[in-house]
Amino acid sequence: MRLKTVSPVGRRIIIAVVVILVVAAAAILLFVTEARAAPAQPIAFNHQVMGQLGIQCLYCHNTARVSPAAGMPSMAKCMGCHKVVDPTNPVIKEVAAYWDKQQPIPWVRVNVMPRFVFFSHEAHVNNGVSCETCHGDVNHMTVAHQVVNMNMGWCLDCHEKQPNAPQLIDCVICHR
Amino acid sequence: MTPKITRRNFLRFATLGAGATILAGCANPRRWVTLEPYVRPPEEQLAGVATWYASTCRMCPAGCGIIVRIMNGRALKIEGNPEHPLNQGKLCARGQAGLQLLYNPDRLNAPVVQSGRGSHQFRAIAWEEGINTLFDKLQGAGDQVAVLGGSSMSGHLYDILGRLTSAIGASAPVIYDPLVSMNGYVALKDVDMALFGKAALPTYDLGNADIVISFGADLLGPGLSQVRYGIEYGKFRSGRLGQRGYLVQLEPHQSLTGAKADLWLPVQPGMEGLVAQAIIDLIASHSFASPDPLRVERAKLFAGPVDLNKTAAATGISPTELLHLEQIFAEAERPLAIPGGGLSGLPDANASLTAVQALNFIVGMPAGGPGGMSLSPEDQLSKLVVKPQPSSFSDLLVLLGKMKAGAVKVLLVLGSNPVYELPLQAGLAEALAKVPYVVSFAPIVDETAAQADLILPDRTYLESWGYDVLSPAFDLPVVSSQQPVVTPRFDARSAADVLLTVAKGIPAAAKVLSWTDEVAFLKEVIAQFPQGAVTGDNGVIWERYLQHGGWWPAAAAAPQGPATMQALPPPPLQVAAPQFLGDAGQYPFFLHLYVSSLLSDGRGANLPWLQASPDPLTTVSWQTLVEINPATAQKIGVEDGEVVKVSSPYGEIEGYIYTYPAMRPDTVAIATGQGHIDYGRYASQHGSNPLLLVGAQPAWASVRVNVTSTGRKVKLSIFEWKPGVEEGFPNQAFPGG
Amino acid sequence: MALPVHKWTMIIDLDRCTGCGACVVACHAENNVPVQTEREITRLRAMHWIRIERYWQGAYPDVQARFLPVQCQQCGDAPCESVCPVYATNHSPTENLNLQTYNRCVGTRYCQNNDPYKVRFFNFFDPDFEDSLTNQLNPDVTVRTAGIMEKCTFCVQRIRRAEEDALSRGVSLKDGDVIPACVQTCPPGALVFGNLNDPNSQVAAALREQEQRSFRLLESLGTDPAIYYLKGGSSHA
Repeated sequence: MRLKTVSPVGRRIIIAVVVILVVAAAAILLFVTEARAAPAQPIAFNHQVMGQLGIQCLYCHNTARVSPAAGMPSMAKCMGCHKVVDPTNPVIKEVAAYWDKQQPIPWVRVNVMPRFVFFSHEAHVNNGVSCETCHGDVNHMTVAHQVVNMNMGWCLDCHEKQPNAPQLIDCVICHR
Repeated sequence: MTPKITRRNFLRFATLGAGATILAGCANPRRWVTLEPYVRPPEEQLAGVATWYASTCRMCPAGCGIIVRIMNGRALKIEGNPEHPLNQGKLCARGQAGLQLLYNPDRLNAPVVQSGRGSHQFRAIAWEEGINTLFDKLQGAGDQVAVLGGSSMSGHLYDILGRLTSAIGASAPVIYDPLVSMNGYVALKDVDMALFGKAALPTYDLGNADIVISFGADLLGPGLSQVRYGIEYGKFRSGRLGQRGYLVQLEPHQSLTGAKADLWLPVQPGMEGLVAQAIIDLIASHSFASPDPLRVERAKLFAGPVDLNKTAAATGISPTELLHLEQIFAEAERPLAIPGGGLSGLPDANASLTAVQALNFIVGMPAGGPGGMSLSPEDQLSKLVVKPQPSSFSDLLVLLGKMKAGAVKVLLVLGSNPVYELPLQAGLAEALAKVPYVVSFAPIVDETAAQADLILPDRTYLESWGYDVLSPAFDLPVVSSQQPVVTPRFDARSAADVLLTVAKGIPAAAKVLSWTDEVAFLKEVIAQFPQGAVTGDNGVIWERYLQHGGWWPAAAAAPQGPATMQALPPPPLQVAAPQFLGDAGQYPFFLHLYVSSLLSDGRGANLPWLQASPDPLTTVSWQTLVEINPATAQKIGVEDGEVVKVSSPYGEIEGYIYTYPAMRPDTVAIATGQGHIDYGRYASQHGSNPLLLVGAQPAWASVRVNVTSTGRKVKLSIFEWKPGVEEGFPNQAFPGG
Repeated sequence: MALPVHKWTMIIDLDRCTGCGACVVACHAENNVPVQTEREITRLRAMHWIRIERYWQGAYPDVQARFLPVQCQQCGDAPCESVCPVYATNHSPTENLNLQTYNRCVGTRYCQNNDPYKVRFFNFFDPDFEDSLTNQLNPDVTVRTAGIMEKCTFCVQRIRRAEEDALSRGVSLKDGDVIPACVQTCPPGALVFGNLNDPNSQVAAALREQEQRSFRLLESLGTDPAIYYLKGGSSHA
């Protein structure tokens, strides 16, 4: 059946349906783990400043070595330095405002995985995978953003390359 | 300049619009979830790493130690505390289900007043108002205050209640719930006092025994200490190289223990004591190869003439079997005789229990050493801590009498649900009507709270402070600790704190209850303990007590010496055949009432895990079954799933027939637990309450019933494949020996 | 770095099992297994990853109940794996477990059909966890929705976590580090779990010492289950 033999209205309907299907498929396939533009954060946190000062990732994200979760620094940790470090900076003042109200900063998640993926920082950090491998050059990011599409294919690319570790392509390594 | 939508380009715009909508909808919503860090992180908490807190399970009176897995302030899983001397890291089904009590959707989130008892018109009030109301009522009542509590109450709460009632001149709290009578706490202590000179519960070293004769005791089911006896049972079977213990179970309806016995004898209901007496008589009159020559002498202290045929006719146990039992018991090195809670529900409970415990006396108990009977050692702690004393049924009737006479102005109910639990003939409804003010501390509105004027919901046990002096304790006396493992929900106040607050306004009480809160009280109690196994010395005793789950001594006290004999009655011990209540013509069957292993006496019915799990022996959930022997079913013309009325001289309930092969044809068995009309969405409107079939006397185990069909039939919510019920899982063959 | 290959094995001692059902509830709590209403159970949709099968042996008065705990046998040669059209269930050669990947399952139920032990369960409905009860859900285990098959995993989340923790502590996994929920709670100690590839493990020792008592369910089908039962009764001295 050639498009030209279909009536004009029929043609439009077919094109419309095809476009809708393609858009839907694209949305589903691309959006789950897509590295999008950095989401807006409540405080303009700048990792580059931290990096320049030589502060290690694990100082704030301190459970990455012992837990599946890397952890977010508590307000007390921020204020531990920022009570005295650059307190007049307007961004720091915003942080202090949260601390004064004894409220946590509602950070927006940057790196996203679906709920049925049980990613473990512990397993990666203890196997010598550096933070930059997945998170990119955070030390030079002014605004934190996801650098790669963290989909299963991307994970497997690395997992498959590891020598003597057939466990890494087991489904159960991530899915429980 | 907005483009104009015409008929020509309508589809174009619609597609783009649809596409955009889909795009927006498909974006990962997790990106808009915020990550909120701690403001001040608790020292011991790491993200994604759970912390475990030790406490004590309060789902039954046994008091197993537990550890609870906490992540982000939520309790996720309960496990047995491996350090705890009683349960050594193990836990039963009810203990595992405790999380659903903490997070039960039917919990009251504030104190309430009810406008009209039974109306269910509850008005939430502030805690201050609730506490002030309680204070006003107590102040106005003087000494006419009564307290009714349950057997799982924390020791410190019982202590506070005791001091309060004593200070204002009111009677001591009455501690009563169905487990008190169905486990026979009071009756057993009385018998032990007479035989062994100490009013303590017996404990049995099952793990090291060689021959065990259980007279209806469901050790492996919900009895005095299910988890500990489960652990002991494992040792009894294969813990000792080359030795596998031999268990005999005598009961009219097979329990879990009966299923695991090496010999199961369906004894006539109520006749277990006669079997024990027959064994005593036989030991006294026979000679045999006993490792201990004193057995015959001791048996003569109780024995009378032997009439095997008469006993056989009464009990349903043949003379050969009786002789066999006597022989294996008398010749064993480490024999045990264990009385069932059901014996305490007979008219002549004392004689039946004495007969069984006399068998232990005869073989030299309590003697210390492995494989024997001991007396629970918690009295060693009596100078240090107070623990709830279960009351007898007569004590309860005294309280009801006072209420009916108008001598009680305020009634406090904590951890007990008498409107559901007590027989109708006890007259609780009439008694409550004469009490001007009833206060319940139930966290979920149960049948009794529905008849209260004020409810001050207590915290559930996972959010509570306290301690439990284990009773029975086994080789070591144990004070098991309790601490909140999560921040209490709804700002719930503990009953102990409420009472301490109220006491401050009553001068007589303020003198004896000067602590600011329950934690201050507990710290003072615990600080006076001597050095224990895990608690170290003075500086860290409280912290270690909480961290490890309690206090217990490093070593057991020296074993008790042989029994003193002054309180023995003269021989012969005469166990009378029990008179069952109800005319045999009108009520042809014996009622065998037993405690459900999942729902307990009804307290577990509001937890979905316990309701939905299959009952171990029938594999049915959510329903009340009337279990009868298949031959009986055929005889009276009923089948599985048939709805029947079970009537006794005292009441009537409905249930569904379940043909149960391992029970006597003259008996009907019904498990407790269902039949709630309140107590939350999972409990209410399921099944029937068989406690309604019992009359207002302690002999709950000697009732006769009749079974009549209503003509209706239901589908059993059953897990197994049962012929005639529904198709299920196909494999019937049991592969092993 | 070569990681060790585990052969996770469970031993169930039928002489010790008292049928109490603690394992059933423990599994519900650990694995976010939903409960079914009375109505659903009458429709044979009860879901328990581990169940206690109760058989009657004999006839009154010589009759007794016999208990057989049954959960996924983690077959070495699983009939359920070969029939899944989307490869949602497959075998782990390094853990020797039968894996179930929930997000891939499309709910054909062919695996349940092929499973001779009938230990696979289908979610006919979205589980209805009341609001406050969701606080209890285990964050280490997916909460399944309608249309997904599920079954016992030998608490694979505990296995994985123990392996990761051992790695981060720089030690190797020893016998007793991994304990599924059912095994942990069982009072008579009827359930024993461990790595059969470790000759010093409890399971290896039990199989060596009690070989004459051991058997596997439906062994003649050639499924090679990872659960060994020890015969009950006085089959041993």
